[in-house]
Amino acid sequence: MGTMRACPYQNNNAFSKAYSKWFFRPFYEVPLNVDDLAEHIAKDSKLERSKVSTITSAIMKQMGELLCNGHPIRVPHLGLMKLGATSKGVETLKEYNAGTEITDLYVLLTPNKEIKNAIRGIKFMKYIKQKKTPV
Amino acid sequence: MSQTTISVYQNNNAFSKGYHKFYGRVKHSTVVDEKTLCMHVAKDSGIEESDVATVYDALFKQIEEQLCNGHPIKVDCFGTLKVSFSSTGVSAAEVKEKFPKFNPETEDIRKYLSVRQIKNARLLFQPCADVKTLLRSVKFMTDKSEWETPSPDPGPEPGPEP
Repeated sequence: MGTMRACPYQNNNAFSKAYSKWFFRPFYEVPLNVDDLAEHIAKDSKLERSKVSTITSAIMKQMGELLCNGHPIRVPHLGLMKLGATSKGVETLKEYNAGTEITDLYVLLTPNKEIKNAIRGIKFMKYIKQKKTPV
Repeated sequence: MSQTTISVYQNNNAFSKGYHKFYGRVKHSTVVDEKTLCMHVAKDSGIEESDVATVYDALFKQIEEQLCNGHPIKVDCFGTLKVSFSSTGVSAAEVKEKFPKFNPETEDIRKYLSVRQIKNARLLFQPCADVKTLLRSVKFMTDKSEWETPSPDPGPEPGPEP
């Protein structure tokens, strides 16, 4: 089970219905990149670190290419990644041309049960940021 | 150059402004599973498939673990994954009602807030600029096959006359 810090903050937007109310937002730890993870993977798998880095880069490159060619990808421990599109509407079928009517293409990540359960199990800890005192 | 097939569909929602108009959506090819992806990577990189499979599974297991511990994961040339959540809001008056001892003038309200306000934790994926550029370069192929009327059925072949 994971633990995550949550930081209280006050809504200061005078135009908002929730003006002056108190909410929580995530307090993120240091961002990690794949290289940081490669060290853990190398230790666990007994593969060389450089080899792990080469493989992870190749995996990411391959995933990008497959996605752009319309292939959804089942990602272990996370879910299904696929492309989605936004389209303008036209009156007749004959008029429809994807080249001009598709206005946006985006990546969708549908989480699987495993990650959903893991996220549901996260324990949140209140983290109060100390206000900076002027020197 | 990447190519994605767009299939055309008609909006059948009578309450929608775009009712009866024609739109496009991505026509997804076969889902790529772990084995297929590892096979592609192994072929391209010349690394053994078993090593690729080990790293592939371990990588996403690590990502899952770190995400659930509040670390955003930045994947070069791909994007950032992180866990986010929503929360309900409470006003000072509501806190005062719940904790009569609370003095808003002398005490920090944050001490009285509870993480129980947190709800709807979810996974977010933000593609990086590289992916956005790649997506912008994708070529589209329009697929209207669903709407093409099949040629009229010629009917059964005439059999030999009795």
